[in-house]
Amino acid sequence: MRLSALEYVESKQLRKDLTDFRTGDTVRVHWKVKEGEKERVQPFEGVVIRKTKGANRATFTVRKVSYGVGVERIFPLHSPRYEKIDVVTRGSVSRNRLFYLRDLKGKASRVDVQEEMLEAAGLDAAAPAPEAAPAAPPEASAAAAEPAKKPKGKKAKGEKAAG
Amino acid sequence: MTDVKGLIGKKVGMTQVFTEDGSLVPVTVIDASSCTVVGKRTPEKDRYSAVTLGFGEVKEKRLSRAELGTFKKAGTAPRRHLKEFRLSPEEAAAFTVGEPVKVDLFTKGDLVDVTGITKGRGFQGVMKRWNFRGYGQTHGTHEYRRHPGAIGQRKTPGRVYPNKKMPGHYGVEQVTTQNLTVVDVDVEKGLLLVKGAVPGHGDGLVFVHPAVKVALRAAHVRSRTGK
Repeated sequence: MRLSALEYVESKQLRKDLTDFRTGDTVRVHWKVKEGEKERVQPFEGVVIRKTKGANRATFTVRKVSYGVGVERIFPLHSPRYEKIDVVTRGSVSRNRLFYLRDLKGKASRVDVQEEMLEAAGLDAAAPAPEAAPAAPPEASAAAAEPAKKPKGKKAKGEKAAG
Repeated sequence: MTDVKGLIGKKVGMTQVFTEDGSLVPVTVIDASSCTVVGKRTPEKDRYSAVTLGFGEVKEKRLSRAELGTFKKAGTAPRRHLKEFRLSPEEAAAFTVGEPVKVDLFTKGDLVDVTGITKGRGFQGVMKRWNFRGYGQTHGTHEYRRHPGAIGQRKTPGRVYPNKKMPGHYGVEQVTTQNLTVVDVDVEKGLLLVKGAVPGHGDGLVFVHPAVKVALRAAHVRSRTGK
């Protein structure tokens, strides 16, 4: 099939280093911010609630709750303005678009983490203290779903670091 | 002496591209890959100077012998569309008959005017055709929501003025969009990326010229500074 001129123009714009992630995943987008002459990286972490398709027009929406206020940002998937995307956790969801999260608050607005990831986290946590193992995974997922709750997140990280 | 240098192209369609600084701009892709110089008009022979450009492919059997002769003389494949661009003999010297016209006539950041034939909209009312405001949708408006209102005065003048804006056929007219920025030039593929929309439908014929107003502005500055 001959590539039409439009497809050709769009194909030149695509990023090669795409991270594989899906809706429901918690990701950290390392967005490059220009301040005067300097350029620095500002990470934005939250749950992916929507991915749209369409060659170089593809976008994804990341939602987080910051100091009790919901914040959503739409990123172009092929934008040269982000350095990289880290996948923090893989979410287990049965929808393609998670707009229902907007109506939920607190614990209810958490996204389940995929079981494989839980197990991996559980094994990590089991090494230093066996009793802490069942408690750690839900806490970790809570921290992921609500990055605003920083103390919890730090605690979880501290435990991992200890292991 | 209306036309200056330019090229003939085909509107491919619109998309969006990232610029160097990462911002996303809407662009129209214009394909000018088959634009070739078919002939020249010289002051000695034709009493004016111009370059004839051809565009688009066409089967030989669709052309008359006279038409075919033109292309044979130029040594190019038959072209569907022909257009003359009035140029001074010095400017015309840059073009050779039989050679393709490269899109690097324009460079990134240039301002261009793009002329095309707008999409046909058929018989339209005054609101769509002339941007009239119409009437309120509520408060008792009865069968008068998209009407033009009064179209004249009373016994004086007792007639409707010529060129009064009224319903009628809209579209399929030549329109020029001015001062569009060239976002990217692909010489290899003969593609021109222009920021914003361009008149006409996809596959429609468009003419790209350097922006008239840029030249005007430059002339104005020259007259003021005396340089």
